[in-house]
Amino acid sequence: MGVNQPVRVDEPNIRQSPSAELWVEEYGDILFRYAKLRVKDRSTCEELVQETFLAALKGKENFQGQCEFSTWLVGILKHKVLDYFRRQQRDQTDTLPEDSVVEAMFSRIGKWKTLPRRWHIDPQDSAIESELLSALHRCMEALPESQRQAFALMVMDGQNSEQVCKTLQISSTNLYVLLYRARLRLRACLEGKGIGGASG
Amino acid sequence: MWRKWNIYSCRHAMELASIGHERRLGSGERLWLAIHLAMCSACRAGARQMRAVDLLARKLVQGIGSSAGVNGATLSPKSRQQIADALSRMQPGR
Repeated sequence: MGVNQPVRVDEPNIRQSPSAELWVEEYGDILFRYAKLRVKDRSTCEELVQETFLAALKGKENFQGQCEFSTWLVGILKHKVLDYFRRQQRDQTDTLPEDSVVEAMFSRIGKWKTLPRRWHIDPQDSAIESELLSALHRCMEALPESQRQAFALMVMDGQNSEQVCKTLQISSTNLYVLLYRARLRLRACLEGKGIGGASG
Repeated sequence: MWRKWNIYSCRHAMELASIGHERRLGSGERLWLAIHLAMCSACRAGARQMRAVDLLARKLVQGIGSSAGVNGATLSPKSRQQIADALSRMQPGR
């Protein structure tokens, strides 16, 4: 689920007397960030968060306290996001349109036009990591919707390819193409932002 | 198709390197990729970068509780109020 932060609010109190103001204050931003990593449009993210809180209020008796309250909320939001993905119309299942950005990275015979550089990153350096994560988030926002959805479900949520193909209504071949394009765009975007340091 | 299996195709090398994140490559694919990577330092760097991208993306998800990396991603005051109002309307006794 990815959210293991301890919450400051006493869980049993929430179950007994839910306070709307407290929920939004405590969990609103966590839910919004979860949605924002997967859905580009801000107002859609806000709607998904609202739907999540309303669903949580309606079904609060179902929260048995086996997990953090925030984890339970994220679980609801996760389904809302999947429903949103499913609702989006896809008019092609066999052939994906060409990705001109990715195509432009290679020559006609498939050689790199601009060689990838060797990145010099120290994963232990938390300052660099924070900078990297911010840059990655900005790069993800620039991905085409279909690539971001595929990348979020497979890589960030760790779903298996069958589940993702079903949700996005695409073939596994197209899923692999979307992921390949997403990764190439993200690495190029990060490199364009100066991530990785000097060339090697 | 000939371009795809051309052993010098960096594009195909990156396709295979990416697919290798999702499923085990077939023996022919593995051999092709190994040969290409052995002679192409740019694709070795590219493949490493794609793995780094996946790793960082997972870290980004782990950080949503603390806002790490997702700068400025907070509910707007207006939206916050709208949600609080909607929740209040749903609560009995209010």
